[in-house]
Amino acid sequence: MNPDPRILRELQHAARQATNGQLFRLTQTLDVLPQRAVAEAVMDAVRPRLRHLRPARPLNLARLLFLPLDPLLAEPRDWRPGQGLVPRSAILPMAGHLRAVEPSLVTGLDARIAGAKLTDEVLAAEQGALLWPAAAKALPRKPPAGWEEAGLPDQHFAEVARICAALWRHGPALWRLRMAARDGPPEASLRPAFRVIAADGAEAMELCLGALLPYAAHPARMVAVVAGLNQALAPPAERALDRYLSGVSPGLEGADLEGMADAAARFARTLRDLDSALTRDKPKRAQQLQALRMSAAQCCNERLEQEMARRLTEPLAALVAATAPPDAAVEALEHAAMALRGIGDSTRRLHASGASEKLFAPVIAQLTALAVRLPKAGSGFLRADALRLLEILAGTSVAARLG
Amino acid sequence: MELLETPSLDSFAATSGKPARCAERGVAAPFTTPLLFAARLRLGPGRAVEVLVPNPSGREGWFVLPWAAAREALQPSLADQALIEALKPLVTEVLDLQPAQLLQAARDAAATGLAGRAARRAALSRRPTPSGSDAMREFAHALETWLLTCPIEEDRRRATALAVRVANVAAAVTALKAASAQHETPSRLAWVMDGWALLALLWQFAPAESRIAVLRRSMALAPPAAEEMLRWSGCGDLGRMPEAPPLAPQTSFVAPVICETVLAEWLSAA
Repeated sequence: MNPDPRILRELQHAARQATNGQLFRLTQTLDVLPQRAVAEAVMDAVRPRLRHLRPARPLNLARLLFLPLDPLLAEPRDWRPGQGLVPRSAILPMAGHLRAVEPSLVTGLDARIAGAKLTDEVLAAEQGALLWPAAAKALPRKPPAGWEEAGLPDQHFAEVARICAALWRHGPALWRLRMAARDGPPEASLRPAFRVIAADGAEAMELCLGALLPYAAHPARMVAVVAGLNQALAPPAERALDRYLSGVSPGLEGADLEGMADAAARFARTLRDLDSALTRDKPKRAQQLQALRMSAAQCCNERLEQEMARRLTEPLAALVAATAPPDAAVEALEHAAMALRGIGDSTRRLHASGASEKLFAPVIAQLTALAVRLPKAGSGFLRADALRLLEILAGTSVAARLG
Repeated sequence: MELLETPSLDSFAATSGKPARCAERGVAAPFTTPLLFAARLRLGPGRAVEVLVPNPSGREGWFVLPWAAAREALQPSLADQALIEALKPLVTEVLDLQPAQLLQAARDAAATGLAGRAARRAALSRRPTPSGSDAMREFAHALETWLLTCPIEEDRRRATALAVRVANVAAAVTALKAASAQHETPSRLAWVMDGWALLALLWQFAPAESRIAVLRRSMALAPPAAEEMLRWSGCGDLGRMPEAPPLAPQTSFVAPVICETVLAEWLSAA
């Protein structure tokens, strides 16, 4: 059933306006709707925020099936043939086909994953290892039922099926690499996996690399390892990196303060790794990286400007004025200070302008004055509390001078 | 976890991983600076405090730094500096640093509030916690459960090796307790548990996504058994070192906020 476009736009608008708490509740409600097309279309409007919030989504056949393809899924309106992507609207017809041709496999799987969440990586690995290779073998030769109704032209089915086949065939190995992606992934895991994938052809290798790159802590190093396996693999590996670079974004919007601090630190590290992919014959990459740096740094700086008073100076004033501030309030202020400091550090790493440091200067001066006059003991906001904030925001050596 | 550049410590003396005496091994300190967390303290010439830091290159052995040098090279937090200041008066008349003295210094330092309000609360109160052997068995079990999900073969082998060592500590604690009714002293228990309780709490409180980095750091920090311990009742297996892949250079460390959480929990449990 295709939703009325006007109503859908209104629902998407409402989802965009929702607070984080409302978005959690909305996700829970949408996740149990049997009509997935409408639910997914509403979620499309808030996917960047959902990536940061990571609500515990239920694990089901369609989600597990397309887990290895995550980064290759495109919103239907953005999807174009020949880009190595799969439109999200293909998920339901493909999952429906598998349910029809492999009923015993799917019924068993439904039972084993009932009540489980998408965040259960172990269950996903176990059940995916059974599901993905079987799904690759069961791919139809022509568009499955529901394909046309999903707005997908018949002539593009072969391309989508080819992408799914490659990712599902190598799904178990890709999932293991993805779980190790924060660690590189390490060369010792990459080499054997990509030797097998490469035997499937350059296109499969490029697709699998494209599906892993967004998760890799060291994407450029990963491409270099794969390209080094075999001379013929270098061009498709470089293409995968170029494609990743053209689509990568800092992804800092929508996160809470702590989430943004983590994301900004990760992004700054990723860009540092990507610097190693700069070569004379790839001048465009330098421009792309510079643009990414500027945009991420600007995003961080804007967030610091927005949050400095609300999360730091105003609560600090309230705590100093309180007779007996609760420990939890003091700890919350310290966590906010750590997140703001983290964002400030990332801003400096991304773009060494020093502009963000000016934002910290007034509160550092205020804390310096407080550390001298506050009492050492008692029930109020103490000298140690001010020194700790100073240590977080200005460094140990600055705080030690007053300690 | 935080990615940090470790300063070069090559100019400092290195010590082997096989100390003869407990005092030579030193006592694990609940530092809150990521580079120093669970580093060991001992008394050097003239009762000067020395800090033993695992070789950041990943090779075996520990570097020995006079505290003044460690302060310069590793930039300890205010709370860590307070810990050493609290320790100094407690060791003016002893030959060796004992776990009990370090615990007292940690309580005194935490009471200043420089390690945060949770640590200060913990310094001023105690709550019931599992016994040492139970905590170690839980830690070994947690490692064995986790390794089933670990995507990297080398780290699965590391987790297996660490779980064996932790289980040996649990067995040694049980044996010492059984013997303590007759002639063993509580200080032996403290030496056997020393350092392991911090690692167990680190594993418990570190975020799930940083388990691999925590495991590698824990392998580097795992306390070596002193030779004198191996002669204690039921402690012979503490010297067994299960085979494990070598460690890579250390670049990933737990965040200060996790170190502080571990400190608070450790004080509550101690």
